[in-house]
Amino acid sequence: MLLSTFFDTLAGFATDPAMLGLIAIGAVLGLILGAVPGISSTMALAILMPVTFGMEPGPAILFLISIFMSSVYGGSVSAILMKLPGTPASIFTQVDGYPMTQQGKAGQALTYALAASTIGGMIGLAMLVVLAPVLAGFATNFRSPEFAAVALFGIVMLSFASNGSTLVATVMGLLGVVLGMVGFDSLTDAQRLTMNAPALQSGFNLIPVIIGLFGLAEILQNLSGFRDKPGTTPVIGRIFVPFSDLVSRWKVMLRGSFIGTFIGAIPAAGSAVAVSIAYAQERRLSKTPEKFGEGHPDGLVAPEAANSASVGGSLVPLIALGVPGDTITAVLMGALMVHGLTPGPLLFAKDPLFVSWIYASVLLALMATLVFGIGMIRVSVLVTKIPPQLMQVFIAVFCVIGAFAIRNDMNDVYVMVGFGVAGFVFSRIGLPVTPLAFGLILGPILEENLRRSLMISRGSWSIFLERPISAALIAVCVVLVALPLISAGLARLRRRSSGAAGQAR
Amino acid sequence: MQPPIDGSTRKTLAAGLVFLLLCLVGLAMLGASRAAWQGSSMPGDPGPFFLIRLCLWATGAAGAGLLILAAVTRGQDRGAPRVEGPGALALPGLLVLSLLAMPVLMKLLGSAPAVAVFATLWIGLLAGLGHGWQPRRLITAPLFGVGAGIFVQLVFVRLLSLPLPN
Repeated sequence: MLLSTFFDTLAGFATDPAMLGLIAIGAVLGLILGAVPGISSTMALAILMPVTFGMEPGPAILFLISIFMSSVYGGSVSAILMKLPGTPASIFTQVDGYPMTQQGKAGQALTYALAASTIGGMIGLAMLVVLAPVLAGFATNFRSPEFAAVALFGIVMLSFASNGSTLVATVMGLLGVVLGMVGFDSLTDAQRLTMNAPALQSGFNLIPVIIGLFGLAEILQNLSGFRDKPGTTPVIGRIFVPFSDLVSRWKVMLRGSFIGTFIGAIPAAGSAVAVSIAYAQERRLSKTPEKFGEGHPDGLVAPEAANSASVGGSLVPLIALGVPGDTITAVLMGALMVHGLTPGPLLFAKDPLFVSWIYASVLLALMATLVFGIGMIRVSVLVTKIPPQLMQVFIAVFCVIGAFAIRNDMNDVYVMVGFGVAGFVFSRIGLPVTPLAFGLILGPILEENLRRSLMISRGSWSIFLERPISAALIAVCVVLVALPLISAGLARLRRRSSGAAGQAR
Repeated sequence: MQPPIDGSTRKTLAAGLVFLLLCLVGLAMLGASRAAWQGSSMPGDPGPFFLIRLCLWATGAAGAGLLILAAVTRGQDRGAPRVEGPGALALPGLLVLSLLAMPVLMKLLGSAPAVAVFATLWIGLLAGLGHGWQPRRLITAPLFGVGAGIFVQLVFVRLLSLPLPN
């Protein structure tokens, strides 16, 4: 039934000129914004989200996913041409992509990246179609304790996957949970942390917060290190790679794609983890590992395939559990909620049309990225030459309009600016902001299900340990939070024992 | 032992202070909310303030822990970059102030003219700081600024019918 709905939706989208126009605009905007250094996929999605507020849900999803998919490849353009990875996931793309540019093979490097990105995206989509219903079917047995445990697991997992200290990232997640609870409590009508300010009574809207944390904070960060460096124009050279050459790398693409999908499907593991594993794995398996880092196509193809495949993977927990897989799916979830669409396990039974919109949008967005990506290989050099200061001013304008447009309320502009400043301060002192956004999304889910569980059990916390899934998830959370402390303790013990052994000698 | 945040004692200290401050402010605000609440909870429900209080206490504990770690690891800074002086914060500060003024400007002038003024000033400023104050470069700023205003008027006001102040 879902499959037939999917084909109907696909046919509907693909034969409607307005929809095709939307895909094309989304793909081009995603490619351009993704290619501009300093604009991440998350930022591109956050600042263009307001454009969809006046649309119906179907076209809005199509447009947003089109931006999402194409900006993932777009981020690789600046990594390959300028050694400026737009996103953490593009870091490994520049390792072998930029040396190819230096060798005058920028066109070929972009083609490899585009081909791998398309194949990876297709495999990610296929896995999404297969895995999401299975996981959702499993999750229909979830009750409040399981949902509370999944929300906690999402926050802790993201903290664990964040760069730096897990404990610090977890605290940032908890702060996000606090922010998510500002406003009226639905169960008791209590006002929480509002100081009787009317603007805070309905809580923080997710969109201005996200625009502030990921859009404005990044502009402020760029401005704090403002300098205008004249760049050198990369040589594009020959564009097309022999088809046989691409086909000969099928194993590399497949490996990268599967790694990307499965790592991407782990809540909060994210594409950056996926690409680093894919790159390391390919280098380990290569007969010429010494060529990695000097412009080896396999070193470009593997992380690109993993990066694109992780999109499909990260959509699995979003659709099946209502838990975003990474930052960008968190933004996407915010956008879906604006359009009245709440992902979760019952979605497949209640609203198969919504699921088919997502599947069809991913497929068409991949096609559009391929078509416009090929067309833009030569143009992409020009995109990377757009003065960053010009883009930053325009993005600041988008941030203001985006924050206002969500509820037509100027208070949201102040909220956006406040969170932009907070994000800027946090990043300057080395505190990760992504767990904060995750906490904001997952906090209300956690609180609602935690309190509901405790009401069912009449206040007994053992309800979370009596049910196997919630018990297992809570155990994993405890281990993940304690792991850094345990490993630090073990390292200390090892140092002591080796010191004692040295003294004994 | 190394400082936990980027190997920098300074950042660890700053993070500890931020966490403690947020905890204290949060608990004070929560106290006011609790005092104003007259309702009651269902049996078993830990109440509307339970999770917030738990998270804030955890934040405070983490802040205190970071302060202790910063004190213990003092002098072991891994050479992390110093926080730049006020000069590095001037442009971000100016942008924040101008963004805070934007809603007022939009109400006074209308959205498109406000965007044009904002974009012109900022493009001019950044171009001047980046390339020097040459009239040839500065003259492009109003062009881009007006372009931004027209874009907002056409796309957001006309096409998408967003109720931006006009």
